[in-house]
Amino acid sequence: MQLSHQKRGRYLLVTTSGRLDAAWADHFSKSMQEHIRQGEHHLLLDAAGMEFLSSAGIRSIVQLIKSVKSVNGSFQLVKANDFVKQTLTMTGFGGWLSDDLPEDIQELKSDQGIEPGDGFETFKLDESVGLMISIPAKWKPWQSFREGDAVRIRFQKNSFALGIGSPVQATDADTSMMGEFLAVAGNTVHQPPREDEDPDFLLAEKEYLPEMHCMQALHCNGEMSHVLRFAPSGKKLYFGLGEIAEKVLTVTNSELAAFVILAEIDGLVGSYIIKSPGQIHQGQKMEFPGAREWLSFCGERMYARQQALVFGIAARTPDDLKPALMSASGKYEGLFLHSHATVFPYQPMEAGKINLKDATWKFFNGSPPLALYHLVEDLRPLTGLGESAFIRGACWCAPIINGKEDLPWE
Amino acid sequence: MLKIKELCKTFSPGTVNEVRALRGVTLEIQEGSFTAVIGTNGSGKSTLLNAVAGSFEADSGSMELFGRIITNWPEHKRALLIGRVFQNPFAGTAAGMTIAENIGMAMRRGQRWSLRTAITKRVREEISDKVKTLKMGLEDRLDNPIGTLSGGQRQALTLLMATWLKPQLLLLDEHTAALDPKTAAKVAELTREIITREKLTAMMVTHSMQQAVDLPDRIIMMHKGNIVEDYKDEMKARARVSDLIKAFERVQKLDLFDSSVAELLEQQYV
Amino acid sequence: MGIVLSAFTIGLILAALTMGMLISFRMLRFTDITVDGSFTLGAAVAAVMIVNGWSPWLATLIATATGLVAGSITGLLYTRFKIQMILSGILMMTALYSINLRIMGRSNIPLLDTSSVSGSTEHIISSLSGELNRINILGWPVSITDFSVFLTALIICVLAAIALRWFLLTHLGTALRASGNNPQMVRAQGINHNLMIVLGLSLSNGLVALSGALLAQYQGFADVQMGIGMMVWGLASIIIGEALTGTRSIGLTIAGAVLGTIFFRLLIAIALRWGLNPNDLKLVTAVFVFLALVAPIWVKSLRKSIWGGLRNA
Repeated sequence: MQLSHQKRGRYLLVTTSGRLDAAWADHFSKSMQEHIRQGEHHLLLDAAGMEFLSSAGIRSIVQLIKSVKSVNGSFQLVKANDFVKQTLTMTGFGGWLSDDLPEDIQELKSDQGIEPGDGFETFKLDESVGLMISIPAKWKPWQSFREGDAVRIRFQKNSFALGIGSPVQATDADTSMMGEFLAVAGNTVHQPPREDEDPDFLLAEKEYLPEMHCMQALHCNGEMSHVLRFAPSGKKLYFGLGEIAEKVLTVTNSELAAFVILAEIDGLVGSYIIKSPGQIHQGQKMEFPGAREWLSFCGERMYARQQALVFGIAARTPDDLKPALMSASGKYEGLFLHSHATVFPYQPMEAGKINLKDATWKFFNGSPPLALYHLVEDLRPLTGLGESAFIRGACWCAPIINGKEDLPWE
Repeated sequence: MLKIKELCKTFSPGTVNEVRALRGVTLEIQEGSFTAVIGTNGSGKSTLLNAVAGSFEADSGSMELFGRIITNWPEHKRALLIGRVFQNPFAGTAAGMTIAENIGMAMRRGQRWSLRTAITKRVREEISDKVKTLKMGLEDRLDNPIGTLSGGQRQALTLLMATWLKPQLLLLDEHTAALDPKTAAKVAELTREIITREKLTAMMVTHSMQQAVDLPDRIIMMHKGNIVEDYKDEMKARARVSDLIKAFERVQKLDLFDSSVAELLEQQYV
Repeated sequence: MGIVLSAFTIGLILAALTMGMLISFRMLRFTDITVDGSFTLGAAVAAVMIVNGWSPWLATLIATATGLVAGSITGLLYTRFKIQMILSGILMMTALYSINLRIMGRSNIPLLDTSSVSGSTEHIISSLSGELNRINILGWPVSITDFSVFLTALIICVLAAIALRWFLLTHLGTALRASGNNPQMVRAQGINHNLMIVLGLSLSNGLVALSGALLAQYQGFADVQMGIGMMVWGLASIIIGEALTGTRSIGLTIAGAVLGTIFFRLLIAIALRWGLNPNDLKLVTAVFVFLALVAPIWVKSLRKSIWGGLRNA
């Protein structure tokens, strides 16, 4: 079986020839999924050359349609010969068939792939809204910690947060389980401070609101004002975290903003706690090799082609504001960041101006998260891993609208 | 029961090729348990097996096998208690000698090397009966040089030889690694069968995570001459291939965590 | 006929040497140069004892025993002191040169008018044939002395061959053969690999010394130089023997060694008869062994280039 494709307006026209049977179904599925991954959500299958379609072939098309539907796309099988038509009609899948190409299909674009711009597309949601930030728990690495310093936080459905804590349990706050967490629209993912354990998660479903015992928390409440979409264009193949944060500050026209990124990963660079800092009773200095007992470092760029859900806070460096829990970017001058990312198995995303809660819910509701990282920028000479970067996805953001005198940090 | 205490071995000490293959390994293997030893390249997993078998003298530490201190025993003396199968199918058998002669030697492991004819009629029948259980048709080829057999056949015979007289400890050193996948699966199955039937105490070095999960009842992971993970009992029952791979990633990640990373995190991790 | 009989006799005597080298060279895969020294050792010990009136049988037995000792020392040099294989043999061979001179007291001992192991055989045959001094073998008249030496050599050689075959098929013999085949496997079977090497080299040199003792009695003198080149001769005999009988079983291999030695002696006898300078004998032998060692490789590459050529064409 042979497959070729061309971009026709919003459609991708895939021409097939040969047999779509058990031997080729996997290959067909894989190449079509790859098109969807690359943002082609409207697929046309030119079946003029398709000689044979078996049940295995039909099953692979059913799967394909499922994926396309999940991102609000479309699928049509055009110009099928009588045999294929008959097979599909009799098996009850006649609905896929169409004799002609859709009317809105355009002629072959000659300049495809070379689009001007920086790869970002900005949609305004509601420019009048923003987020209020609070820092209810202020532990800073690697100060000593007393049990009484932990704060119990309940995340509302409009809560966005990151920090270090442990899920509230029946027994009293256990300081041996403090690890990184992030909360997006109330849904919380937390990494137990164990190297061999995967993150766990609590979902804000129905009446239930996740609660965490936090020793450190940057907690925002409110609505997002913008959504940015980004995808590779021209020579631009990926988007660095700092680059997205810069864009967020520009778009929200603020010096302090928060953002949620949901995107396919190019590579994540970060670390996470593997020994609960809740057990530090005297100030600790993180020196080598002692640091290895407390933190795990990714060592290489991780989780390419999976999906990241990031919550971060970005700030300029105003003189009167010294963000105690923000780290300065070495690559982007005047940018301060604190961001946590969790990783989900890849799923395609809808195009355009999408809703944060729906888009992220799809992932929370799917396979469990694979990892949770506190993202760092690694600019070590020669061996440095650089910053985390993403291939395509969405970024929701909003300015932080506390009054200047009202900001929680000293 | 095998008790290894603080076993150390450095190859070519004081030269550029110095390799600290074992760095104080302490391990206890219970009677009747089947332990897989996995590890990164050069982690010392084969060295550990060879140290137990006595292929070289350890620099320090001690080894005790069922109450006997074997630390200073020469290799051939340890062979009285220990059966071995090697990675290389050529290593476990004498290629120029017949199948019967090879097995004949295994039948007398640990006994006196007398001046009686080795392969008598009775011995031949005994060999033939047991070789039949391999279902490889080798019972008709007892007088062929063993070198004419395929790697898988030789490995199956080596396994048979190593367990002919029930050894107190069976050592398998990546014994399926040099075989094609199908033969490897067959030899692995044969291994499981023999170990279960004879209730042997065994250690198996393997690089196949699947094999480590499927066959034994305990998994030890080595890295840089140390044991870094030990899955036994419920932990072993729960362990999947992905867990082992993650454990590998962890130890490799730990290697990448050097002082420059510590410095980086001191600045960036706030 | 005299030449043929003497070639057969020497062949049978040297067959003991070849059988000995079969153990070291083929079974243990140990290139043992001790042979050149232990061959002379056997001859020297036997000659000195016979000259001093000892029984030739006892002398031959003791000579064999000294060979056993010499071989085991080479084995110990190699296994205990970790000296390289070739060097262990060279050290022992060199030491034996002086030892042999010490034993003999001079470089040559003639054995004139002394008894030899064939004496009793000669006695029996001559009493059977009625005090004739020539008997008829296949229509050829042969001196009784020559014939009885031949017969004695034949008996000793056959006995040695049978004993060797029996030994190699015992548990111990199997272990010894495996030691050369795969040391790692042998150790894994609980066999002391080093002990097997010492034992094998000892037996090997015992047979070599036996051969030397017999040859001294046959040719009527022991010479301190007589061992030089013996190793290569033995090697040539082994190679010829393998070509004659193959190595499918121990019995065939041993038979091959014996036949190979005899055949090689015949070839030499014929060559000498045709006027080959005896001084060139060792060169010719060396060239022969060289060819026997490399010819299989040449044939293989030649075949390959021919086939390759055809395929390319």
